Amino acid sequence: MDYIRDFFINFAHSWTTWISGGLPGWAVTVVNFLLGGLILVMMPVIATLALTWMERKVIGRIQNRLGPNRVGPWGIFQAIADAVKMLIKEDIIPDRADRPVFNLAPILIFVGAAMLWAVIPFGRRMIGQDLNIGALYVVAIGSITTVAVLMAGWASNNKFALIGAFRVVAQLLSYEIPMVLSIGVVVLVVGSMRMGTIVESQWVPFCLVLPVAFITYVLAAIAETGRAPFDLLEADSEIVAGYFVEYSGLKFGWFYIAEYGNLMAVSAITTTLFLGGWRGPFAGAAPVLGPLYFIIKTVLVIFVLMWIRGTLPRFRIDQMLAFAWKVLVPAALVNLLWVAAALKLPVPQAVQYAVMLVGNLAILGVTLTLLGQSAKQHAKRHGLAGA
Amino acid sequence: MSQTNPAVEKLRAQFEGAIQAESEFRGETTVTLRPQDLVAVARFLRDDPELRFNHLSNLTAVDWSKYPGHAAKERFSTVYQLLSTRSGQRLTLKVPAPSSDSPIVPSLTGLWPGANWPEREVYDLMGVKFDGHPDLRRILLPFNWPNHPLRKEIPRGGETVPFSMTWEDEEFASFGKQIVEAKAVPQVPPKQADANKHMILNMGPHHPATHGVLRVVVELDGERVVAAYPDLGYLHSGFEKQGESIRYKDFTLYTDRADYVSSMCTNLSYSLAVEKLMGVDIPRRAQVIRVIMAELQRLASHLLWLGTSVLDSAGVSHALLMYCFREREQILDILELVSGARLTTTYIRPGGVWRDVPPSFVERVQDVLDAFPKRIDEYERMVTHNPVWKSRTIGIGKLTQAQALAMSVTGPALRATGLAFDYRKTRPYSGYEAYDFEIPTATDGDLFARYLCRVAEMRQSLRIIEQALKNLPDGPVWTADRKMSLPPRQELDTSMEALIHHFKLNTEGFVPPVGEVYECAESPRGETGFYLVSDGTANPYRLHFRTPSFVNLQATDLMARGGFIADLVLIIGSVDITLGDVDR
Amino acid sequence: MQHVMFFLFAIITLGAAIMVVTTRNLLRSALWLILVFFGIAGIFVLLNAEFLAVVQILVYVGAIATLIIFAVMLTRQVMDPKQPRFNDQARVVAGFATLLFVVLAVIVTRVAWPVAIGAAPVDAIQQLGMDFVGPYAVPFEVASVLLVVAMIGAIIIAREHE
Repeated sequence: MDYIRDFFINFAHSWTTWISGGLPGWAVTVVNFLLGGLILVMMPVIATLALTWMERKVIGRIQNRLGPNRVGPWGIFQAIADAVKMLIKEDIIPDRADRPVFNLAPILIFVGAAMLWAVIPFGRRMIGQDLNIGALYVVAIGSITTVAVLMAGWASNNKFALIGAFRVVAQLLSYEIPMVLSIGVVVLVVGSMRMGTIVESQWVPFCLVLPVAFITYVLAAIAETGRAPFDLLEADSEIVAGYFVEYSGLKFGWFYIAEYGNLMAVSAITTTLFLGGWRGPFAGAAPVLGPLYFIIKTVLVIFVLMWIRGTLPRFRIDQMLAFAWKVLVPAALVNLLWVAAALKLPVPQAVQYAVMLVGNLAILGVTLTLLGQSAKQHAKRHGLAGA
Repeated sequence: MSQTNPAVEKLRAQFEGAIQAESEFRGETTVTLRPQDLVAVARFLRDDPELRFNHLSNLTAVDWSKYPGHAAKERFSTVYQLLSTRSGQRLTLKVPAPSSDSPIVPSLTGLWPGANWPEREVYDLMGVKFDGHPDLRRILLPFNWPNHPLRKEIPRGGETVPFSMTWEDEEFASFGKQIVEAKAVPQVPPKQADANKHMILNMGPHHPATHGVLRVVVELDGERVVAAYPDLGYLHSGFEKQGESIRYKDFTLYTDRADYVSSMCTNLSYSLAVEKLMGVDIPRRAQVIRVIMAELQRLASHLLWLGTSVLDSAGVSHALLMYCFREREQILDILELVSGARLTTTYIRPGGVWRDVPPSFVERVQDVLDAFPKRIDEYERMVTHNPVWKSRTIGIGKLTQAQALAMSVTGPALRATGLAFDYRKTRPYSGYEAYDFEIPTATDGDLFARYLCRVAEMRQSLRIIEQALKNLPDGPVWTADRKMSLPPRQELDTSMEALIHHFKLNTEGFVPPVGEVYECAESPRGETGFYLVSDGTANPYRLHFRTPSFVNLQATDLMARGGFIADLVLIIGSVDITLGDVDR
Repeated sequence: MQHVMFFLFAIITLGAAIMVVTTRNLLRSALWLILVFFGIAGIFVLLNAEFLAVVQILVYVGAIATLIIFAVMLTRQVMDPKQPRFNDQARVVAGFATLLFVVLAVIVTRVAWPVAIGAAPVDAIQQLGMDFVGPYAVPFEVASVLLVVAMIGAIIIAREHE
């Protein structure tokens, strides 16, 4: 029973013990590292297989359709059929493309998507590498994606791809700032950048304490993953697919996998930072429940992101940048200041949290009021006060 | 009659000797002018405070070389239909082009910039040149097309097609060099675009936001649109040439295929034109059915517009497209019920409607009437008050009323500028004067205003359908006029003449009198009109098809300048084009 | 093991650095530069300075290299490999570069570098943070002011066009 209670960790121990029987110590390390690495590298692929199906079903239901329902029960093998299709498609490299760069970009973007998983805690002690700079690492890896996207956009020798790449730079750099600021708030409250510690110290999920940071992070995360309503980098109706318009076959597949890998990773990080990660009822007594809670919360976040995708039109590039710089960054900065001040109060932690919440709600209220007013002014300027 | 037309009287007084002839046919006045007087007369007609023929509704040309009794006169003449949006009066100007070999007439682009494309079309298809036109190039056919196909000596079919998809083509000279050397890209149009300073981006003909095979050459400064040059003709199929070689009634099929998302309305426009030429009356029941079908079609078309327009702004994931399709499906089912076809209906035909509606029709339409108001409310909740949608559409793609009139824009895009101009009110046809409905307008002329107009029009259409359905009279659905209707079966047994008549109508088709008419109706996109010239045979001598998509699309450049690429996509969407309607 | 890794990173860094200056294609140069930054980040990791390594990637790869690529993409003529490699200032620049090299070489060889004895602290970030607001508060703030000034300057330059 005890074995089951912390099944994953105990299983890992048993496994290590088992292979130690026949292998020297360094070989055990190498084998375990390879296995762990393999699991992490497979995460984006698994995410893609699961999430494409889920996305199609969810968007389908939102759109009053059934979604995939032919391949396998409820269409669950649709993603596999697509994968097969992608594998057997012709690999086209455009004339005059910068070949080495063109070929390197999909690899790099996948590396970025896979590396994120190294610091995500699936459960207690279930983390690839509990880096002491975990939260910062997450942001740093995001910049690899930027470079990969730029390479793809440039090397394709296509103007739509180039415009996509330009948009990527503007968008990702702008939204990195509110993202870092909102992560900074969490780091400030926890006092550590370790992802494990961040989860451990959330006796109440931070989304309830720091709603501004939570919302800012989710919005920035949507922008970083390039999903609607911030999907300007691949806006299908404007620049067709943006930076990966010239890719086909498996190379396109890498972009696809990176996209869904990033979506899942970002949702997992949201869960870790703001939703209490693997914490949940009885998770302390039975750590085996941890990964379950973690996955449920992550899927919930993903569902919300899909829901947003199904209902909101796309922003324009200037509006999007203005939103980052004029709304998210100031709100996040004020929030950072407020939280830093609240942490200095000589009162118990619960009271500090309450103070933070009050401040957060105030910031939220002010931001929304200002936004509403500016929208009204915009409408008025164009003579549509009543509309 | 002609002496009573005040416009002609004024013209006579103002321009001594300018009017060569005037004629009257089916209540429409046609004035023939000397070419050198055209611009002055048109300016007078446009600016005179009493007349104010401010809308250039149609511009075309006729090749008279095979017209009976026309041998000695000028071979070509251009034809202009002017309309006063205030009084609804129409005046047709006809200008014989002086030379037969290289006919040339003055251009009206100085008065109506919207005459640009129609004049290019005339040049392209008829070879009439326009003096003073800023950019007289072919528009529908490729630049190296050998002839002007609407001239009478050009045969229909059998011509050599100069398409050569070889690597020696001019277009491929810069293939694959677009980014490295932007100056190598073919500049369209060569004079205006500055490829050295700006990026030239080719949107289309295969682009998801161009709603078909439209190519828009966009001149970009970063993400800003410096200019947008639509390039047409990818779907040009020579409807007009084809129309001259088939019978009047057979052309109805072609009208379906032009504006394929609102075929009923195009059917109606064509039928009205032919009926006017024939001078026949349509029974009440047929008229009411026509109104119901046209309004249903308008609903379906606006729904499709709404869905795809939101699609333009949100990508395929947005839910509204499918919602709109669900509703449109309900209407298409009704179209299928009455005509057997969902898209290419050919239901409204010259003479009436194809068959009477089946008994379940009333019930099905009633279902639409019951369901739709709530559904439209739902869309409005989803879109009208959505801050993202508002920020994407308010103040974008603005067109002032003066600009819209100058560009000959019609339909919701014109009404969104504040002018309540709708043929259903201005020149009522098919008994529209009997219905109680409003013409929705907005003042802003931007994307949001156009959106509001279209949504409001959907509600008005429902109102019209409701009234029509309540007052659906009994009776025949085909005209009783023997010029167009077959004799009843029992007469064939007793009357030899009836038998001959029956035979003639079925083989030769109905024969209109000599004359020319222009008649139009309000389609969901604007003014859909037909200009028919009859030489007294069963085939039209000249058939011109004035489509709203073609004319309205011209305004894209004007609206898109200074905006972003993302705006351009929405602007193209807001014009609501059907490429079949643009290229014909 | 450490030495092997160090030499590996050193070779990557130096090799990529040489490619940066020899590649004719400007964009490829920028991409090689990114590899240089990664190599340096790797050396930081070997020195137990994970924070610096991550910051190296975040700032140099994520921001600086991206901006360089962006600038390269926006300049059309520079992209042509047929462009002459040197302009008329080449000699002056070469002189200054030589001078700089000499100065750096002298510094590197003459200064007695204090080599840290003993292991680095396990969790150095907290110490780093404390140092920033403690003993090094003034330099830290001065750097911030410098950045703000640079930002304001950039905004003003960008505004001039309007």
